[in-house]
Amino acid sequence: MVSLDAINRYSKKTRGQAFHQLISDYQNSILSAVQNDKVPGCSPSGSEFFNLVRNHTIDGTFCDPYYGGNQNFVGWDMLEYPGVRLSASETDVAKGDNLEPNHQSAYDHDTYTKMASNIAMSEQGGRGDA
Amino acid sequence: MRKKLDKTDVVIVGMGAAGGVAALPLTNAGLNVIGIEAGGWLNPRDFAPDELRNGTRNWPQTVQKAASEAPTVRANSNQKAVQGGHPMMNAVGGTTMHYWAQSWRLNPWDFRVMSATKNRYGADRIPDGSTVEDWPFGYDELEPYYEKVEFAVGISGQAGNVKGKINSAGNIFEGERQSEYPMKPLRTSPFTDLMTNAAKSLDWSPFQGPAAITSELYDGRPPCQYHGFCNKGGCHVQAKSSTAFTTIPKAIDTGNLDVVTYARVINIVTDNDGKVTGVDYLRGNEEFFQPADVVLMASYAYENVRLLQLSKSRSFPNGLSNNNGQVGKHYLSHHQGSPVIALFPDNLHNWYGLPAQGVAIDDWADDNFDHSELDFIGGANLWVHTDRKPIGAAKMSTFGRTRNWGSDWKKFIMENADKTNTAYIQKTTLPYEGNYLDLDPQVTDPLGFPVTRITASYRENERSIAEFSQNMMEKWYLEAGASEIIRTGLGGAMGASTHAYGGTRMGNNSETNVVDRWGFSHEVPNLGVLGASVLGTSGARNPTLTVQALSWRTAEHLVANWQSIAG
Repeated sequence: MVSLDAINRYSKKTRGQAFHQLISDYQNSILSAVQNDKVPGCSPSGSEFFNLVRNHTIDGTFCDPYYGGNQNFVGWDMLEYPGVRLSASETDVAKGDNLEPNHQSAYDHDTYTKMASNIAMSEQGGRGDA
Repeated sequence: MRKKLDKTDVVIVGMGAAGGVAALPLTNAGLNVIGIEAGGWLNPRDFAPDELRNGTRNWPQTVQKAASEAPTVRANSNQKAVQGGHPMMNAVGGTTMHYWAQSWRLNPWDFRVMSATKNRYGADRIPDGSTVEDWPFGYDELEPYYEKVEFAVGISGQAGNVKGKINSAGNIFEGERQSEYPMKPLRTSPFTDLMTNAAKSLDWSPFQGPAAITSELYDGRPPCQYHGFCNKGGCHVQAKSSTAFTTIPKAIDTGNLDVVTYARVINIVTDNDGKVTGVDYLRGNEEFFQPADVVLMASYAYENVRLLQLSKSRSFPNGLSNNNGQVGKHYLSHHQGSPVIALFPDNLHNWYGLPAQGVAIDDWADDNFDHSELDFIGGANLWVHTDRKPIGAAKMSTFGRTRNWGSDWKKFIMENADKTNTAYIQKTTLPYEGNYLDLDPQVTDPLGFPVTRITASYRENERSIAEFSQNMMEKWYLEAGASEIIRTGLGGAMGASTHAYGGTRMGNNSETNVVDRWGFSHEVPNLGVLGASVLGTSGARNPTLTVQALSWRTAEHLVANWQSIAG
């Protein structure tokens, strides 16, 4: 929030309006200023804040739709990524961007444990009595 | 209260690439082995093809023992060391669960860098300050163990030299092998075909690299499905020949191996005669003492060194096996950075495929070319491979054509997402005075034990190889039709790496090495060390197969000499 407040202060000071009210050309020039460390008050710095937001935006746009971003596979379609597959044949690879996108999440396959952080552990070979 | 358990023959600390291999010859010989592992069992259901979880959020390396004790890093002793991440994984199988699985034999030159350089170019060509020594034996002595591991684990590849017969489809520079690989190489791809043809038109010798990945049905495991989530991900069909799916289950089947999971070894216990008697470990909130006749350390290089340095006793006041002050010395992390990045005019068809599905050039590696007029020794293996994922593609370089956001950027990545490639260049890296591992004086893990401190940097020899190999890589890409090239920096500090070497180096001289030619401590007869911490040179290729061949060799030596080592 510190950096967002700083950007809005800069927006009002230089363009007379909050950032979200500006036309896109003005928004872009302010984003450039943030990226180039020209906006005072960003934390830890304008360029680091910019990179953080940029990375998270890309992660959200191009990740598996399981996480809520990339809805209807718009991100993957944009890059002509044909989608997660359990198997890719030589024919699939040869087709390149002519391969029909399959529009499936990794977790549409029952094969995979869904909880991302829950590493399932079997006790095979373990020494429960140790 | 520390609970004392029943005595066993051998304790192996770490059930990863090294310990997981050593367990098989030991248990086959009827020895009772307890493998203590900081992580747990994973299964194919855990290996979702999920770029965000595996790559961006670094799933394999988070929330585990290694992450809580990541080394601190500084380039030299005048700097303050800063803690970074840990590159390895805790699990049964260790990092063989999620590695790229490239499985090379070292080149014969790597075993005798010192003498070969002196003979061919003169002693003054050994870089200043390097502590490099010849290995205590040559490639030929390790060759049978390379073969045993290639078959036991399951390696696919194309041989280039079987009993002296050269096959130009394989690596013509490799040491002589006694047999072909157990499996044919992984399949090629349109991109690797493009690069292979370009290399041939340069008169170079391209070949498909070896991989611990099935290319056909092998030992009950299905072939690779080429879906492409090897990097930081395990295999959903067990095509990756991790020790968790190969040697460890076989060792368990003998009835002689018990694997203790989620257990953290905190001390190797020594008696007043200077022999080890077992290990102390924590599991949950309980502390155990596991007595054993022989202890084999098989953690990662940083943890092997750290555990020795932490295990102080009356016999070893400066850390176990460290009365000669060699533990932590001769450390190096492989120079595998400084890549070259290319942009091609056409799509490369790289959305599917894996890091080990690539093509290699060894013409500029090791001593495969004349260094008389050059200012360095050694060289680099050039590697290009198929593998692309959408988040990584969107974060591609814009090659100076547009800023990295906004509508121009969107247009750029829409056009170019499948047109870029980054080379992987592994270089000869040497040990030097002033590059070492010790215990950090300030930073501790959650238990209060100091973490490892890396003090190390690349020197002129590594930086010269980096520049030379970038030139060669650029030439290769341009020959293949690349339109733009980016070269990155030549390397500085040696950070925590997936290719960490040294710290318990192997050699005949006990004043400059920690373990002998068999991998047993010069100072502690019943303590063995497995892993790349025993390696004194890096070679220009991934270390795992060499680590595994040495582990098998150490285990066989122990079986054959049980009375004198354990007695």
